[in-house]
Amino acid sequence: MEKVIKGHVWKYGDDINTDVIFPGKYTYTVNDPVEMGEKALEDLDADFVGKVKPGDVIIAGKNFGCGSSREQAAVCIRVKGIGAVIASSFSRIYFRNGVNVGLPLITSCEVQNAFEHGDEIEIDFEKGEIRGKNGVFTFPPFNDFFFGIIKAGGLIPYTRKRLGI
Amino acid sequence: MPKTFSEKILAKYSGKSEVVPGEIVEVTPDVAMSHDNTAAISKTFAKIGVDKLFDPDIHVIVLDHCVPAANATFAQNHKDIREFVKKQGIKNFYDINNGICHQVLAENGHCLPGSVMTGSDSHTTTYGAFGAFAAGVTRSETAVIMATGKIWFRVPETMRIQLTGQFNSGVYVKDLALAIMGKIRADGALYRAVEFDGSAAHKFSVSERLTLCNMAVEMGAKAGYVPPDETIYDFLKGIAKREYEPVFSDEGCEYIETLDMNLGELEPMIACPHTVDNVKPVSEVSGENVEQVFVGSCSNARLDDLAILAHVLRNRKIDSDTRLIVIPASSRVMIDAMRLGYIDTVLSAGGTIATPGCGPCMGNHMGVPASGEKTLSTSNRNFKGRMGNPESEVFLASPHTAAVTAVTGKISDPGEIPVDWEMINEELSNAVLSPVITR
Ligand code: SF4
Repeated sequence: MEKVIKGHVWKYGDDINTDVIFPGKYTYTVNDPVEMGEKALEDLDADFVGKVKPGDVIIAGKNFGCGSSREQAAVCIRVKGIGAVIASSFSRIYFRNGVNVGLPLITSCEVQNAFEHGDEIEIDFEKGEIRGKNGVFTFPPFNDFFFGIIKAGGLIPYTRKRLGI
Repeated sequence: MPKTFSEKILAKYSGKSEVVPGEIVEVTPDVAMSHDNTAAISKTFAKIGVDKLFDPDIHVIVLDHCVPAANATFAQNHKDIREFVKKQGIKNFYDINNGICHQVLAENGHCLPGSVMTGSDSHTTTYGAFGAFAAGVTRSETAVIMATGKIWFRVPETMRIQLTGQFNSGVYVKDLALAIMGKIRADGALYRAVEFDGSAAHKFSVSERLTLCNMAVEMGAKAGYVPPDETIYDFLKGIAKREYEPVFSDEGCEYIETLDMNLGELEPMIACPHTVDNVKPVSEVSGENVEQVFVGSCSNARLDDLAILAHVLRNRKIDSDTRLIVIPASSRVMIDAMRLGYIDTVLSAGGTIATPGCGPCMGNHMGVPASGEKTLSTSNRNFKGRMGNPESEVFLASPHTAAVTAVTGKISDPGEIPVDWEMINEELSNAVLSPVITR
């Protein structure tokens, strides 16, 4: 994982549920991560899949990822290159899923008003800084444990590494 | 410094002298539950590349989400799980003849005060009824527990809900849970442990505590908890799977929020489509036609729930345009209900009984509603499509409201057909209940 990511902002509202992040109808039929990426945000933003670039960042309001516990909802945006999601809060299981698939999740209530859809954004994970045209915002740097999992690319590769496999 | 129950349990299990909210700890749970999703979990486990489970004895597997199998895919799932269980030497395996996972774990003494429990199911919070720290985890995480015995937790802040007073007739724990939900909403307890305490909490039966902690997850909670007491210790006598040591919050510990609820001020409540926190008093929606009533799920399908149902239905018929599907939470509940004549009453009134398990709660089988139909359910979720058809609507309420609604065919206030709760309690405490059955 990069220490600093740079991209553009995809901005959404409160209570973005796992059904609009990854539609329930695909949960048992789409198993390949790349294919999962092609369904990302299908019912929320039709432009997303075609235009998202590696390093882009999602900024949302409260309770991001509420609803079902499906892991695909974290995988699908990760494989499309989303470098981080910033939200004022995450649903508990989404937070776990995010960490476990290696998707950096940042809880911040300050940046929502400082960024518009499409703005440039830069995140420095080591320093805990979010930079944009309206200034620099800080967040508590990731705990070493999470950082370890995210750097390894998720919980399964992390576990393999730990077990020396 | 005074600590909350979850801070104390998590410190103990992670080998630290103390932990603070927000801290990440790694622990080995006493129990890791999984159900029909064990097929998928075992495939992830295989990907990790370890041959043998870290400790087969911490895993408890229950087949319940689609039992007996509805089609070849579910049947294959079950077959894969049985093979995995054999190969790995998992002793705590409950096949399709037992009931809903959460009920089966409770009945068989797996849920113990002061323990750490995980489950690949969001309603794992249910076990907090016994004073355990119990949280839902993901499938991959259960696979990692299989390989390493370890799981990470963020130490939660704790919210205290102080319960006082007494329910008016026709009002139950389910109404209380719905009322709390309406108040704090579905994210009101996000990341938090919720501690239900106060004089009223300690008067609740095991079944009532299970309903309350079951619903905690719908408030966003990581764990629910009722401080254990004699009610729990008595229940566990002779069935506890291990020795246990209860853990309590210290006097003067820090709660992030405290909420007071007076049970005497509550009225029957109902969650309307399509969110659990879209809660209204039953009186506001009464009169609405429903085509189906479902009394089942890990929320409300225990013996006391079926007793209320049977007392309403005795010498009555359900409405001719309404179906009533009753699924006892476990085979043990079903045997007891049979001996007490409740099953006879339900069938004679025109209801249907199905195999103990989840049934239509999450729309796998046995009572999926048709498009345009409304269902009143005693379960815990009413998201669009939850019961298997996005074109149908689901309302959530107590077994008493459900029973009266089945008789009238319209959402009805339980007061229309009152039951004598004292008498029911008496009937249940005098009954000789069946011993735990397991195979
Ligand atoms: S009864 Fe419903 S809520 Fe409970 S475990 Fe089964 S599917 Fe989940």
